[in-house]
Amino acid sequence: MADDKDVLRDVWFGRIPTCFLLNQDEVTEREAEPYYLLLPRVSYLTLVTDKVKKHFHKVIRTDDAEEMWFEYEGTPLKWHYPIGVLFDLHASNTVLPWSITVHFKNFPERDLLHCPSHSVIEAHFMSSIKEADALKHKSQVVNDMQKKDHKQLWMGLQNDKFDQFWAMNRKLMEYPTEDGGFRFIPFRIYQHSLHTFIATFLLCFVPVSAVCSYCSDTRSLSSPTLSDRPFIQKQFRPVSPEGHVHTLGDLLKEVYPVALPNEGGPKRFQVVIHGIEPLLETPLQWLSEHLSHPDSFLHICVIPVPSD
Amino acid sequence: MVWFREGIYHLNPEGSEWEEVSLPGEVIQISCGPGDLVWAVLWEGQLLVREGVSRDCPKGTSWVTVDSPSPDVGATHVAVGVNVVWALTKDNKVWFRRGINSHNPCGSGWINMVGEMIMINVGLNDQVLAISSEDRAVYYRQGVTSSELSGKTWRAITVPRDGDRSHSSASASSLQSAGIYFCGEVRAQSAGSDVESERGSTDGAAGLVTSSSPESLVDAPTDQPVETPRIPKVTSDSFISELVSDREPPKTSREETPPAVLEEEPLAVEEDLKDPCAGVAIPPQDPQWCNVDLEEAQIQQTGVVLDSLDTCSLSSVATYTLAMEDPYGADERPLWAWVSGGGCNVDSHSQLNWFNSMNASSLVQSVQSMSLSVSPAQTAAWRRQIFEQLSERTKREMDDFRHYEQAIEQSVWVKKGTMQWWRDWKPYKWIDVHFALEQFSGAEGNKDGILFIYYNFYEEKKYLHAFVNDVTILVPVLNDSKHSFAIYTPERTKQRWPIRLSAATELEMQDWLALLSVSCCDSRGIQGPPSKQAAWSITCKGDIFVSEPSPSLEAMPYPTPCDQMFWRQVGGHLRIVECNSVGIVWGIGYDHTAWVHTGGYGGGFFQGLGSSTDNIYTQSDSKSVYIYENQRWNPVTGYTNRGLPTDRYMWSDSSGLHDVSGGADRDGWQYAADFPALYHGHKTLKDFVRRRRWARKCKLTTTGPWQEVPPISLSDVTILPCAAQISVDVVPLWAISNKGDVLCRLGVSTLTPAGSSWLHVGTDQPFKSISIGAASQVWAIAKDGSAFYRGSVSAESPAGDSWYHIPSPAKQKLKQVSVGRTSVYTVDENGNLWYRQGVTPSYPQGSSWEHISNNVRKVSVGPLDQVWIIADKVQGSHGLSCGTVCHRLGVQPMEPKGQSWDYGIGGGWDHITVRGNCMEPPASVCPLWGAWPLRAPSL
Repeated sequence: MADDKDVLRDVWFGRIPTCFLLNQDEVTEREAEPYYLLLPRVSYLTLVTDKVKKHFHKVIRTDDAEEMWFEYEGTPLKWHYPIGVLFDLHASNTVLPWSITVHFKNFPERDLLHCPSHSVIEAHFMSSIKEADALKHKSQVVNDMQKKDHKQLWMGLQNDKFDQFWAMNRKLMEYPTEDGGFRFIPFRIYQHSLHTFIATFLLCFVPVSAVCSYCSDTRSLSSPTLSDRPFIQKQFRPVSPEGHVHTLGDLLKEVYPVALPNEGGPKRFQVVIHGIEPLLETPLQWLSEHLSHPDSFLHICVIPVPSD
Repeated sequence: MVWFREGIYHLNPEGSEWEEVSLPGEVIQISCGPGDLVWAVLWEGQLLVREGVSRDCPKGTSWVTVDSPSPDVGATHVAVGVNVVWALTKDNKVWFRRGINSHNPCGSGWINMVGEMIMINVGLNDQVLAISSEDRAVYYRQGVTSSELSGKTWRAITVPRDGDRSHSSASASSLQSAGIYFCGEVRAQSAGSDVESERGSTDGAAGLVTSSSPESLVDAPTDQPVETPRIPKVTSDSFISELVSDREPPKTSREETPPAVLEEEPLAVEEDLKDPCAGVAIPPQDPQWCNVDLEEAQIQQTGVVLDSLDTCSLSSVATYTLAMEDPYGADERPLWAWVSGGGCNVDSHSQLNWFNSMNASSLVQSVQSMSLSVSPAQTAAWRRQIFEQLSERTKREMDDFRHYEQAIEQSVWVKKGTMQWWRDWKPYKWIDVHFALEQFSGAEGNKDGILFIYYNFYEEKKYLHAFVNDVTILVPVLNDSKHSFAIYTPERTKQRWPIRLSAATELEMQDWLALLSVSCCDSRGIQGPPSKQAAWSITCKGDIFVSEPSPSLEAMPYPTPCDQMFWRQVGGHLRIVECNSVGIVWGIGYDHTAWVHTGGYGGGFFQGLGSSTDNIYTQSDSKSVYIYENQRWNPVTGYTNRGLPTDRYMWSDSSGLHDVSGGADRDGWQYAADFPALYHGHKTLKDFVRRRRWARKCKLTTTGPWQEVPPISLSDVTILPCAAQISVDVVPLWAISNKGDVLCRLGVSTLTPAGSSWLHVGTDQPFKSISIGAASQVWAIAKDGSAFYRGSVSAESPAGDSWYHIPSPAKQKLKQVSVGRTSVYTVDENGNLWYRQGVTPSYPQGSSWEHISNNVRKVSVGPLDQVWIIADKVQGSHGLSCGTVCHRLGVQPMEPKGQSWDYGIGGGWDHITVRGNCMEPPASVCPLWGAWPLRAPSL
């Protein structure tokens, strides 16, 4: 691999081998076979599981079936997070394939959004792109696009068409050369639930200034699963006022210092994007251009280092 | 006569006896499928279908006649499989029979397929092999599946011959694994036929015969005086004449024609699973031919049996192969005449690597080394970490699970839009059309696509289409306030009539161009920066194009035709570009600014995928356009813009005008007694006309992989062309400044292509063109049109010591020079191309100028002494073009002047350099003739 373009392809064509198992409590007419699928990391669960639904509908009483939802080791999986983020956050460092439990009953209203149709996913996806472009270009690029251009982005994702998507997405990735990057980097930092607990605990020991950087969203710390924003999102520029290029390390130091190893201390957390751990000196602008999800956000997962 | 072999069964494969089958006419060819299909071709051009063939009655019951696919042109060949029938007609068209099934062996109708073939054959599970009439390469029908029996597209198979083995082991092994073998044992036999070769007892064997008629080969030595040492060359001539006769319209005598090659069938083949290397036969009776390469011949001779004197003709085939060691190599490309894949079982899902060309792999390598050497930032630790971890992730998460079902099914992606099209019929004008690009994944995962243009022709809806992998270049043409671009295919380059389209806005045009460009590059597997060998060219609009040369671009005697070269655009705006084979590329803008290539690609409107990211810079260029306002004096109104009927236009271009050197008055007017004349800057009583010049400065700003080399403005530049194997640390680079000074750049290397400083080289007068050859021979053209040779240039003395004056050809003023390995070519102001005679190492100035051609605008001579020009007045079938890229054919070490021109892309081209291409044409490796796609019909 010699070119940055290959990174875009690798990111796009990342797949997670997944085994879908029907929840034991579902009433079936005969035993349900597991269903194996390669899920695109950059897509959404409810967008790519029509086959799963069809498969399990064959064995359950369809009139009993309510909306399908997914759960991994007791955690309901939010369809509106990219699949890769869900996997990195909850299941990285586990044995593949990823075993997801499929439910057709007892929809966890408090944890999950309903997803009655693909158009809901499209609306969510497009609003993410618009939000990101507001950060990157004051919405100028996305507003200059026509309806059909928006459609092209969505269809590209829905049909797994890399070229179709990037033919349009490249416009969202442009910036004036003299600026050296976007206005702000659209990013979201997710914390493992266990980690959230530790972070809250550690709050007592970190300087007040650092607390301020994420106390703007304290709800996320107190009740991560119930909040609509259980992630950290702030305005952060790719280049410092002095003209220094900001790195991934700079970002974490600013908005989530807990994720960084203490001086001399052991590494406690992994900073994972698309299943890999970029070095902390990686320029943030480059990350944003190459490792963002199709929704234009850089989704960063901070998870504890596996104990073994 | 058709005979049926009785009594063939498992334990008695040879059968028991022949039984005649009655016929309604005279059969010239027959094809029996693995199932129950039997079709034959009649002399009159119709086809016969055997009905009632079944397990109980393998002989069938009766014949049914089926008309030839095309009413005026008879069928010449038929090939059947389990469920398919393919036929060829005399005009080499390919036909697929619709509606064939076990209940209906006759089918229901013919479908005309793309491509022109002279021979077609169907394998065990309906896979198709064919030989193209155009290039005589072996083609495989890709995409044949049980649901799509007609397949998708023709793909050339790269087939080296026996003698090539030792030189191309990679492709040889891939062919072996694919089950294609060259008939090791060639035996003269009188009754070879398709039917017989299908009898092959071994699966996975297919036979190929090169087109070598016994007549021509036997004749060759006798026609030629015995003392002539180069028999192979004679053979190649007979090939050529044979080729020509092949392409002639159907001949008078039926017996000689259908297709000419079939006649030569006495060279039948027996499938043979011997080591293919063992298959070269050496004629024991002809010592003259044995001296080609005895050593190799003996190694290869193991196990060869020549069983009759008849084989003398065949042996010449073998000799001919070996003789390719000869540097003046005869034919370097096999021209196939027959293919039999009757025993070839190709699974429709299997990945075939018959098509892999060395071209592609070497390209990838050079691409990689390029991006690594050029931008050290690429190798930053964090980037390397990401690359490595991503491939680890692929291994971890995907490698063991590739058998899992994909969540999203692949489908075709279509992008549509509306545009205007410069229609193909008179009166020519722009008409509204719908435009669509359909993209899909090819069978091997490569992208491919088709362009469609939907238009109305007198109320009737029609469309024309072009295959993306057939497109050779996309040229933006901004004029008449139209945002238009031209799409060329080889066919349209020949016609000088591209598909011209115009988008509503410039942005829309650029979107389409960027998308189409990526699509074209994808379909050809081209990505990343240009290779070091790339040819660069510039249009008269300053747009820059680059083309990756195929190894056979300079092959003799069959180089890749010029019109098949694929050109892609590189961002930036230049007037001149020069390169050499270690990847140093310099450019000069219209404003004389010097630029050096950063090793990137894209820029301009190529953003995102079509462009590199970290070595693209802003580039600006400017150009002045002048127009003259002319006035005539009359007694009533004084000077007005009302001229005499014989006068020039009152606004004229600069034609016939001189510089405003005679001065001007305060309003810029120059005066004279009449047009045309010498002008002066103040009005006198005798002045009846006056003129003034309006200048308009155009400036454009774009981006591209170019960095400025300040501060001196240049008018010409040249870089030492290096031979492939020689590595030089410091590369000599010479230039001419805007003022005519000769400059020598110091410190130019692959790591610092921009060099460090200029060294001034003194001259008696200003110079305008300069070129340095592979042996550091520097030639230059002075402003007065004469040439100069610089003596004693070497690595120690990079600027040489003195100029030797060389007079120009009689009455001509030279304007440009290019020096290759040894050849020196110049172009004069009247468009004549001159070759310098008598240049020797001891007398590098040469003796005289020899006229080569006229209508030449510019010349570029490369490190192989290959000669490329920009020519004016090239006639195409649809129009004349000026500014066309042309390639000199027949250039050889002993014949550096070549013989004729091959015409490539144009018109509208202004500059070309081929000085990067030092790839010696494959001496004995099979030229990758098949790397080019078959032509699609241009509707």
